[in-house]
Amino acid sequence: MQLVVDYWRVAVMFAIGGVLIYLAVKKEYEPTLLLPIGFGAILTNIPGSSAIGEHGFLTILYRAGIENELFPILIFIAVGAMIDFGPLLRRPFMLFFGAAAQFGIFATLMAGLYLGKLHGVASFIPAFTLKQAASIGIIGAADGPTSIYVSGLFAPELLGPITVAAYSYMSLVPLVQPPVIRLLTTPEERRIHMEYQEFAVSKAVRVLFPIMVTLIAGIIAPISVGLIGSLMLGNLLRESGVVDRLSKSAQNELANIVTLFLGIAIGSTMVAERFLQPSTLFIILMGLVAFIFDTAGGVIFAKTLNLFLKRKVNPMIGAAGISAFPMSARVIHKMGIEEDPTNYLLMHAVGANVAGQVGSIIAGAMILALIH
Amino acid sequence: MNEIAEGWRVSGIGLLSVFGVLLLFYVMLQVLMKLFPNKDENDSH
Repeated sequence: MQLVVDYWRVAVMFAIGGVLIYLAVKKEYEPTLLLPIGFGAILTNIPGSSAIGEHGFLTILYRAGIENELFPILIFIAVGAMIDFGPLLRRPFMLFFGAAAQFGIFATLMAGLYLGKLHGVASFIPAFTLKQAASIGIIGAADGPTSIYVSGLFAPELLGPITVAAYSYMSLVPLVQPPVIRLLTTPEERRIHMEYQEFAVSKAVRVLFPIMVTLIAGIIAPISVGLIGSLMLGNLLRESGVVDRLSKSAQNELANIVTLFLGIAIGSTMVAERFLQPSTLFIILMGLVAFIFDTAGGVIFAKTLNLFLKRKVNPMIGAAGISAFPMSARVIHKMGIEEDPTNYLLMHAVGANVAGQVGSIIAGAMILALIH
Repeated sequence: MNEIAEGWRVSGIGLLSVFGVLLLFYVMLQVLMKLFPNKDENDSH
């Protein structure tokens, strides 16, 4: 009987792996990660698989890069080398949207803890600990490496479902954000034009920005140095203009190799008996809640600012403060064009979007610093 | 302290800290832009 149950679970995990591969191949939802995660899940759940276990290559990869947090850090170097902070440097004000849109992380953390109160009423409802709830909330950072980094430290047993939820919702931003934004804004608000002035930013500012951000964040929260420091190292490679080979390697070879290893190693955590739990469903659901709260937090913050500002901001820009770059900025721009074909919000949205990248890392670091 | 109370503490301080740190980045950027204005108008990198 036990054998039948085990094979049933294995079949479900094969199906889940297949769905992830389908989403990657057919729908092109975050294919660079969902494809290796899906295949990793299949490799892991084949009965007697040599890919896992003491000498399995997936176990070796997991220990080499996930357990010690190396892979997310390396991914951040690559991301930093890819990001042009120019739109943010021209409009530093956008930083505040990058902060407001982290609201979902903390709202989901609390939702996770209150959910635990229902555990006594219905035992299938998981009673998440503070560290687990914080790891689930981080899905709202819309930032895969930060989610992996925090949950790797706080809740490694939930790493698989948290990573799958984080990357799935990041690819579903075009479906998740627009209804929330429409619900919270009027057509008049969505038609607000924002003036955009393109001007050059000096090289000194571009080079000093990553260094100063690392120093400030590091002095305030030393635990953030690994995350923010690697992102800013990548950006310094890009902006210095003197290590073009390193910058290009970080953007291409490093990003590609580490993404492959990261994906397949995450897939190896999706072992049937651990993954097929009610908690997985709740994590997927709460990930959606986190994205909704993030979007709402950004929009409501922008609307609140408009009560005091003479030159109003388009409240949709607030929703671009999540870290899903550049997906969220494109969504906001498209929504602006739909309301008014002459309304170009792209550069403002990109500014808020890269601010969200910084904001999500700071939020992750603060959670690591505040929870012992 | 129970986990709910600890959660409120983490969320309150956490969100305020994110705003605080990004406010510092904002001030730092304003200072940098003042100290190092772009002189080469062609550099729109």
